[in-house]
Amino acid sequence: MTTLNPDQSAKLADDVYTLTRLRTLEDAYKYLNTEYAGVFSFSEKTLTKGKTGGPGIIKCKTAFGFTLLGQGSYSGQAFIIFRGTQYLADWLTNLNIGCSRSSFSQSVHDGFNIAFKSMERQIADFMDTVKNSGVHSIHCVGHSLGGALATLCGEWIKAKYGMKPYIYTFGSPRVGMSGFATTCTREVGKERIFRVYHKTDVVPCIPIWPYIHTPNKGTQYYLPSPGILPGAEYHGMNHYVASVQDKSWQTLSALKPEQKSDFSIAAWLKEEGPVGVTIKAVEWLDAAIQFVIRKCIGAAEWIVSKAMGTSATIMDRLAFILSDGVTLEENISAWVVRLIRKILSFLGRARHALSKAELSRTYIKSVLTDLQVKLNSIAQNALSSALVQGRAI
Amino acid sequence: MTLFDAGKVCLFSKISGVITLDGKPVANAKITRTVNLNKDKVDHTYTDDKGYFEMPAVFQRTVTKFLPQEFVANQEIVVRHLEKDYRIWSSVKRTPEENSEARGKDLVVECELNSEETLITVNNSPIFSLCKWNVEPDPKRKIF
Repeated sequence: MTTLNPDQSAKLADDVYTLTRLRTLEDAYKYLNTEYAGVFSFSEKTLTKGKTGGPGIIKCKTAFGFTLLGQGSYSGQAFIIFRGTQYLADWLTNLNIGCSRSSFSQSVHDGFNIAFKSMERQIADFMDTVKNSGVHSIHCVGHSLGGALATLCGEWIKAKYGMKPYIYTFGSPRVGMSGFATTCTREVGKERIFRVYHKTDVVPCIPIWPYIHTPNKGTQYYLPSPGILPGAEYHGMNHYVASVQDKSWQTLSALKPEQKSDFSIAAWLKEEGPVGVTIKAVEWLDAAIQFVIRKCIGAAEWIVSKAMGTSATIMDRLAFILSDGVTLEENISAWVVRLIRKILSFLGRARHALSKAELSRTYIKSVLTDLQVKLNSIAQNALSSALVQGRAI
Repeated sequence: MTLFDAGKVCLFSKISGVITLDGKPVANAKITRTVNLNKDKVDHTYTDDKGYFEMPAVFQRTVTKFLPQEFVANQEIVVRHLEKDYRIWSSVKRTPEENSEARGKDLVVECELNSEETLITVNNSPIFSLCKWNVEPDPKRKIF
């Protein structure tokens, strides 16, 4: 069996934080010898050689990942492991960040792509070693931003080397748009991508649509976690390690996220009453924005993703499509009005009467931007929610 | 958690102990401790006539405790004796709690400079050390 099990992939995703932080490469090798005896072993010789392209550290500005070749019963397997960053919140919440093209020319988050590109050379050196070492399985593993990097790395390996790697991510943010998700899922194979996330982990909620998760087909590994607020606590790798302990992929796939049909989304949009700041509300809003845009325009995802070459931001495009819907037939504009009312309610600015005339492009854009800001502040400033919870006791 | 403690993380717990060389106390040796969450913080002390030293806990206030990100901090203690540096402690601390190094107990160490460095993992934090202290390492799980 060449697929890593949940325990193995979680341990690697967790240990890469330690490995990249140890003072010397020698310490890292000693740690690997102790913790992974027989899988990754290093002699004094490996240390002194210090050749590039072999097992070792992937550096960005600081050490960001680790490349390893398996031994013994793991020979023929290569491991590329990425860690997260303390600056994730900054990246995700930067409203000005644009899109760039992935290895298969699909739209992806520019922040993630720049980070991956800065490491590409070193990973290419490692891949030279991989090609000459009879490797048959490559595992790309990461938590948080590291999950986004592992996904981009997996797509890149397929595009550049024609090899199909395995991708394992824990609490990964959304890497790209529909085109990327579809292409990466098809090229790498849905059965080779293991995306694990906790229900109340805030990071997988952002960036909001049109960014979507990879894979967009196959199995999601959706883990229960306490609470109704999207927060930082269950993003922690320690919780992921605990949640997957002694479980198989099959066991972990038992829980399914709620499927939102067009019928249920329509019903939710029609519901009166306040929208709370909960993880469920975030999921519903995300689905509702897609639903209404699909009502307004047939292939919205295609348009939004192709339009990235222009100077218009994503928010501009969404506002454009939605405001266009307002000028269309009555039954479509009613959906736009309902959506905007839901968003306003989520923002704590509930409006009972909202006329079509008010829904200019500028107004819709400002509401969408406010929504983005609010979601970002939930992610970035989980501090206040922690304090609110503390006071509530 | 009180509001006052909000965002306080422990980078190194209070440590005390005795330094010896070939079993004899090492007096007046300079002890340098470096911790790093996002930048180096350094403090020093000296051993007394009996080789004894102690250093207070190091805390840092940070909002990052509440952000979706991992806590990862470096710990290092170097003893300088007769123009020679001995790394008696080097670790990556993976939990922000105080006294995680000894599972909630006070960290009291005995360090023999002329000994083989050991590596144990406690609370998911690997510790390379010349010291011995009262702690049970993490149980080994057969994962691979």
